[in-house]
Amino acid sequence: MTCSCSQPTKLWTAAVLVVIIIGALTTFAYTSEQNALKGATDMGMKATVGAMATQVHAGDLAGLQPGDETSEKYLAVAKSLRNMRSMDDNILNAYILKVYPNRTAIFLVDDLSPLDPQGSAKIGEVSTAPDEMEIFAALSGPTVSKQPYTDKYGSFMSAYAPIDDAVTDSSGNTVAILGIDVSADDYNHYTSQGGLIILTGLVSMILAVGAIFFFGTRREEEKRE
Amino acid sequence: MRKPCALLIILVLCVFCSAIAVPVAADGDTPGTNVTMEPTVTLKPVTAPTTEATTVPTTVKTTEPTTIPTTTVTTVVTTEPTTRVTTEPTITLVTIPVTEPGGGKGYIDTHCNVDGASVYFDGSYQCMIAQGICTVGVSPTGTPVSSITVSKSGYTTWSGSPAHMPSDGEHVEVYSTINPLSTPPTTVPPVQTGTIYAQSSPAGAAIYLNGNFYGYSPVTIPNLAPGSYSMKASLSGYTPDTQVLSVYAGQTATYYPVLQPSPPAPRSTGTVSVSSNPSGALIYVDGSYQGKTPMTVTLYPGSHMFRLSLAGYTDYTSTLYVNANSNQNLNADLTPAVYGTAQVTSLPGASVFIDSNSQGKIPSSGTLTIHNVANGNRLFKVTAPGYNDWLNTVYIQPNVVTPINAVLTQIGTNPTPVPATGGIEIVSTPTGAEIYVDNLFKGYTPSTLTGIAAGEHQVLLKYTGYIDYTQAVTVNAGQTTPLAINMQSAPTPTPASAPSLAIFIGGIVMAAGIGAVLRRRS
Repeated sequence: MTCSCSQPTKLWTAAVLVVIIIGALTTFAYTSEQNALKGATDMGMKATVGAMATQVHAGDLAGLQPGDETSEKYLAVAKSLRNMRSMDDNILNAYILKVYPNRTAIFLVDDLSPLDPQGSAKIGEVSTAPDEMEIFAALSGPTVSKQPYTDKYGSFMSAYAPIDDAVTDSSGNTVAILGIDVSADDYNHYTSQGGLIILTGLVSMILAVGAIFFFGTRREEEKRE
Repeated sequence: MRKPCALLIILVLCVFCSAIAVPVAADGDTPGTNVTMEPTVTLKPVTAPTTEATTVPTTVKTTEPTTIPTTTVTTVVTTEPTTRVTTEPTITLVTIPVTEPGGGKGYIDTHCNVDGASVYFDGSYQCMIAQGICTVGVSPTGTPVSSITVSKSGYTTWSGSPAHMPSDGEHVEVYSTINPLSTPPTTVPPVQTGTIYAQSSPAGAAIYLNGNFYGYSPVTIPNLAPGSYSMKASLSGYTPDTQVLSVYAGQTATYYPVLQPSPPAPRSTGTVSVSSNPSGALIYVDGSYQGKTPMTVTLYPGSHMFRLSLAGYTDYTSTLYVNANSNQNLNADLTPAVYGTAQVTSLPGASVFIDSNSQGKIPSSGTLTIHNVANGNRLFKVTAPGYNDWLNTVYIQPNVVTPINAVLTQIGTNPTPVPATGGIEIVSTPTGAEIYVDNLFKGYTPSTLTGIAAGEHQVLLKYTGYIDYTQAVTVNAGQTTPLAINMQSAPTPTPASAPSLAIFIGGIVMAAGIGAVLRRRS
């Protein structure tokens, strides 16, 4: 099996193959890394909101009615949420939702309410976050938004976890959902760190193509000599 | 020509690679507002189709111009309220040949699509449809037939009229169509609910529906309204399984969670099976509530203090050394609480509290005797207006009268030196910053902090998006130190941009250039 192609044709063919192979590997590595980063970030958010949810006492939420935003009971829960999330500046908001079987979620507590009554959710306000299914599924365990979203309060990535009444009810029924918001920009920033992979792939392409031509032409010169 | 073409091929390949990779990389620059959401797929419950009889007034207009021998337009409008299911149209076609009237005998030919149907002229039975037709002779000069009715049991009734009476020897054709009556639909109430059957592997998992415990696997959950349900299966030693199930009317949705064993603990653990007599005692291990007896507690190896508490019984305490990968039994026989008696002597009229529970006032005799005080350490408080509170922890011995002498001192003559304190009045821009004094959280600005010990303290303000502010503040006894802070915004970090398409293409062009130069040299 003898190739009748000329030497330049062989060089260019080799260069094209190298570009294809390195490009494909670079793309694969980049995509894998993005998925890994997103998975790790989502897992971290779920772990955080899950741990926070265990610190909320379900009994403190009983009897909250619209208009109770200034009651001592409400303020105590809101302060507790704010203290918890103050441990991490990336968490912009923590709130508690009551979820009904028809998947409607209403706000029970918004930790921003004492500081920003006008810009925070009121008791009974229906959540407009597009995470309807994620919030509903959080009745059974921690969940996280599929992707960042935008609602009237801004652009966020959210995580949710059930607040179980484990102390007073040994069956561990879920009484509400705790939600936390992370800035969508921050989330995108943390999960898009694959620039080095692309750069590496690019440099590899340059070096490989350059080497092909360099050694190829050199070999041709040696043959002529 | 070969070289430019090859260059072009490489360029196209690189653009292709970049088109795959770069849009994902660009996420780093893309704010969340530009992210498009996936379409939400809402599963709608399927309900059994209902068959309802619809009453539709059928209006059929037949406009048929006749051109022989004169142009006559005959319009027959049949409005027939029928209750039917079939959609077969009712077509009534009357063809009337135009002739000059005369004497003798004429014929009215009534056509019908159903044999056996009866034909009535003005309510009088005339004949039965056979082979699709019934011919009736009429006198052209007699009483004109004004209405023709065709009917048959189980079919709709057709009514019409000839446009005119036939003349001698003339046949007037009348076409009728009758349709079978719809049988009344069997009224079967549609099934409105569905069922979930949950069976876990391994069996015995606690099944939760929308966060509420329902039962242990396997279990059937009936009478569920169609819709979505958040399911959870939980079993000790296994990672809980969660899933959203859709329930349809009249159907059984299955939930078959396969539970995976929980990841192993960072190091080996041991278990203690705690029981008590009577059961239901609260279990505290190293001061943390665990649950009620009987239950098995998983603990790391080492020494742990158990306390079992049940109302009406004396607390049971025990220290156990837990070994790894082994189980121990702790069975506590709780003994009814033993009580003692406290005899509090103090200022008459003073109020007495034990563990924050009021016990009454000191009588004029100056001594209050309190019976049935649970043995153990109890916190006693005696208060009186104008006097400093008296607080002390006293151990009450069972079946013994314990004398307590609570000497109250008047306010102002408190012998206890009060440490000199001052305050800090903190305002900030923006408000709402978290205040820390000596690394202890104190609240949010604006705020006036009191009870700060005189001396120098480190004040730290934190606010998201602003640079932390730290300042040493000197607090003087009896004074409030004002502190107004204007916080500086934190610099917005420049988002790391992903390698752009231009860089990528530039690199490829560079590579191609190198190749071209080397080739030219050769």
